[in-house]
Amino acid sequence: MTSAAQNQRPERRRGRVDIGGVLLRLYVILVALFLLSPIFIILLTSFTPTESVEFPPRGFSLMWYGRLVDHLEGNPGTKPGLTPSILMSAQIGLVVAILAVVVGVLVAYALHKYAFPGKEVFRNLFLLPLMFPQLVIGVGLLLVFSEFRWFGYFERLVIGHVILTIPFVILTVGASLEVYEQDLEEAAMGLGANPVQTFFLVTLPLIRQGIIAGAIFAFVTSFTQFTVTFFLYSGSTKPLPMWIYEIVVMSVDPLLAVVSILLIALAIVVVVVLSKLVDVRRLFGGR
Amino acid sequence: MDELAVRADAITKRYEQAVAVDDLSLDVYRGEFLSFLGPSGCGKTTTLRMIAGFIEPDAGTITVMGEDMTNRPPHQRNLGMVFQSYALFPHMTVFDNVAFGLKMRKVPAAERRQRVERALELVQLSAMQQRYPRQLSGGQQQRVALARAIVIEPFVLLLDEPLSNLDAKLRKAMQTELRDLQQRLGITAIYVTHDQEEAMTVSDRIVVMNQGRIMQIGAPEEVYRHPANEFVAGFIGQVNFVRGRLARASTGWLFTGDLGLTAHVADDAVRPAAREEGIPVDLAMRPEAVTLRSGSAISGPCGTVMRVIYTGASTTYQVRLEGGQLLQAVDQDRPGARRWREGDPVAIELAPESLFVVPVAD
Repeated sequence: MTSAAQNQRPERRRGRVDIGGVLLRLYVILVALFLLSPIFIILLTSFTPTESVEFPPRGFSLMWYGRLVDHLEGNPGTKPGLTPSILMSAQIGLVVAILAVVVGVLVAYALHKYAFPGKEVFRNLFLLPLMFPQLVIGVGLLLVFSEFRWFGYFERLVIGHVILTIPFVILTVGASLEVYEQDLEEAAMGLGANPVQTFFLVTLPLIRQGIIAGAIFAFVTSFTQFTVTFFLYSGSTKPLPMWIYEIVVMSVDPLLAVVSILLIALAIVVVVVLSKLVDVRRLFGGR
Repeated sequence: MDELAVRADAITKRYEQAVAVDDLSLDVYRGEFLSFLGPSGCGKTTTLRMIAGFIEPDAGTITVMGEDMTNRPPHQRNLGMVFQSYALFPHMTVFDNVAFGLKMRKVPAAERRQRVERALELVQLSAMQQRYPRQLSGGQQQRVALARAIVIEPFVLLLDEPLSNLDAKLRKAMQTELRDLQQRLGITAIYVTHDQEEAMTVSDRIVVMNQGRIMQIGAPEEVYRHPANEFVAGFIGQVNFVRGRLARASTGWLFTGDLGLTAHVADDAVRPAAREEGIPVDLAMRPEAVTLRSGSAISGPCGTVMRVIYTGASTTYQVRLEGGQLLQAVDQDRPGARRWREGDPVAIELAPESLFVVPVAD
């Protein structure tokens, strides 16, 4: 394009309506509405004053938030076990995050640093749980665990969730390994640091952001994971997604909406914390 | 100055098919500033990284201060490395960056502080101790990298194109600063650069490399005035080549160019490998050895000024000789000096003491 043509453009824009721009804005708004509408509906439903789910809700009340508090306190007349479920899912999530980080960091580091035969095969293998149907993973693990009975339900869930979450850590840590320079490790070694010191004093602090991001992804994925959990859990205390599921089986209760809002709030907190701690765009290969 | 700091003995490094460093042997003396100079891919960085221990040679041995280092990992070599990218630890302050090597050596905290402060003083960054690398300019970052490398009192300071990320003016200033610092500390320094002016500014000796081999080792003046071959002559400074043959004369040699240009050349201006009658050789002339005269004044070869490039301190003329050969001539910008314009007919006068003859490169 010549510079003359470029100079003309802003003038024309001032005079006429920019149809393309309007359409683009409209499109963006519609997509955003489409993506967010379930959350809006849940939010509105959670404020319903009625005993059952109605949409649009007839009025505004915090009644069901009160019921949630009753459930959390385990008051009589409520479905028992919400607080133990949350605590259990949090425990599992924490253990899963720690294990996924330990394994994921080592895998990502090996994939980044060393050249070995079959490297690409291994990389894809480790990322496979992202693409694999979770149903298949669940059934597969169920078959294995019913044969080898030395794991309790807690360990089973942890193992299942770790398999699902390792790819997140590999991706986030791998991305942060990409952005820092190899020179830094060489500089450390040149200054007298042995390979172990170099890893802990230089490499690890530099990929901290990726580790934090991977750990949070792992925790949230485990905390809200349904499919694999469904196949593996047993025992009197249920993980949170199972507790929610049992309500759904009985009735579509407005309490569900309130619990969902709680989970959404958790997700928002995570995203905010994440964006404060790490450069999310850079983590996913943006510039 | 005669004691050995580093000896590379017949080191070779191959990558797949290509040979990066080919049977290279070299002695570096204590306290000297030695530069590897060559085009990219000539093996200069590979050689430096083999000395540092980041690359293992396929063959040959590397000795530092009399000890065989060939298979020793980098963290046990006690060498100070400065990188092109500075490679400062971004999560540490300037102080902690410089203190890192001392911590690894378990130097007690009090002594550590003293030595770090002294090193930062040497590079004039005492005020920046608590800053992070990202808060410093490129030049300051490279000074921190330098302080970090010298504070451990390494056997040898290794510098891999340390100034090439800086702008031209700062680069010039850092060159002299670097040289001063090296002289004051009396440290052995090995420097890698592709910039011939930089190599000449900082070095006691220059190792000119091409295709994994040493083309010439010598003081800056030596490689400039007495290049070993066509490659060195062409890589260090500007040079005009005229292909031709030599014949013995009563004193020295008579050069007859393929294009009718003749010149007398002293015996020591002809590289040994070119001292043979009748074989093709190159007469090399630095542009500053070529003077332009008005056509009728002298009997030298004639030509026409094709292009005038004024660069302030000097003017470069491109002249096309009658035989079609292009020559460059450089004139200092002295007041009252004759200025030529494009299209002017000129005669060429050569300063005989600035000519040399090199063998034709293969």
